Amino acid sequence: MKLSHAPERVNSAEYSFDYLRVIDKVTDFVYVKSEIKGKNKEELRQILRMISSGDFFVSFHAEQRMQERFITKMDIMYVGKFAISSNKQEHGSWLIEGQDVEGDSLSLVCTLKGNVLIATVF
Amino acid sequence: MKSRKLMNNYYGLGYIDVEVPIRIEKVGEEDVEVIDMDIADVEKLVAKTIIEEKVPIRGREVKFLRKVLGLSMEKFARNFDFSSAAILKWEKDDDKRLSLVNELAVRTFVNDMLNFEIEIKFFDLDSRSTSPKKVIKLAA
Repeated sequence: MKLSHAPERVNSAEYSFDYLRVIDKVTDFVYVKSEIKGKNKEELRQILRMISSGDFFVSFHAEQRMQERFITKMDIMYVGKFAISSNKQEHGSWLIEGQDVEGDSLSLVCTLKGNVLIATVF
Repeated sequence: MKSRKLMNNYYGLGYIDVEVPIRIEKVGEEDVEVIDMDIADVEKLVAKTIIEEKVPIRGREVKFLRKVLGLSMEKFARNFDFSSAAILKWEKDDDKRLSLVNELAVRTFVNDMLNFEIEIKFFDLDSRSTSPKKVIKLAA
């Protein structure tokens, strides 16, 4: 399911992704379509906020995939900030698609259970 | 239940192994091994080790350090008044060491961006070394 507002990719020349002061200005830039209703909509918002602010854990498996693809935590946070689409999967996990800081496609599978857990990346 | 697990050849840096704490979390019906710490701290620890241990900065180190900083090639390049093509050229050759001038610039930049406060001296760099000398095991 595509989000109705796909945020523009910020021009990297203008974008300052300061490691030390990352995302203390998360805004609700993602417009969630009305088909994602109620509890799911709120859950998605919370997940994206937490990912974009770096508030998540990763599974050992996800970390291995990250190393294979040369993805770091900043890339995952970038997906949270500039998510392009999302889908709730069976078993309650979310598939979130976006781009890494280089503009290459990056997808996350994550769950929310108190904390956000990144189960895998691809 | 908590334990520790070793990650060999961290991000292709064959001289660094990292041990991380693991906890088990139930996700649906499955038990999932979760790294029980902020992975950014692990990345920062390895970046600091590269700077502190005077590891020769080659293409693979440039890519790792740039990714830890969360910078695109273009954004990284701007800090050095280079084009992104120059950074791509650096990173393309995993094993080729940067010139000492460029290496010093990268070290200083990373040191400052990540607030490591490591003293960096030009004459401490071994200009003859083209690859790291030892395996470093870090316990994150």
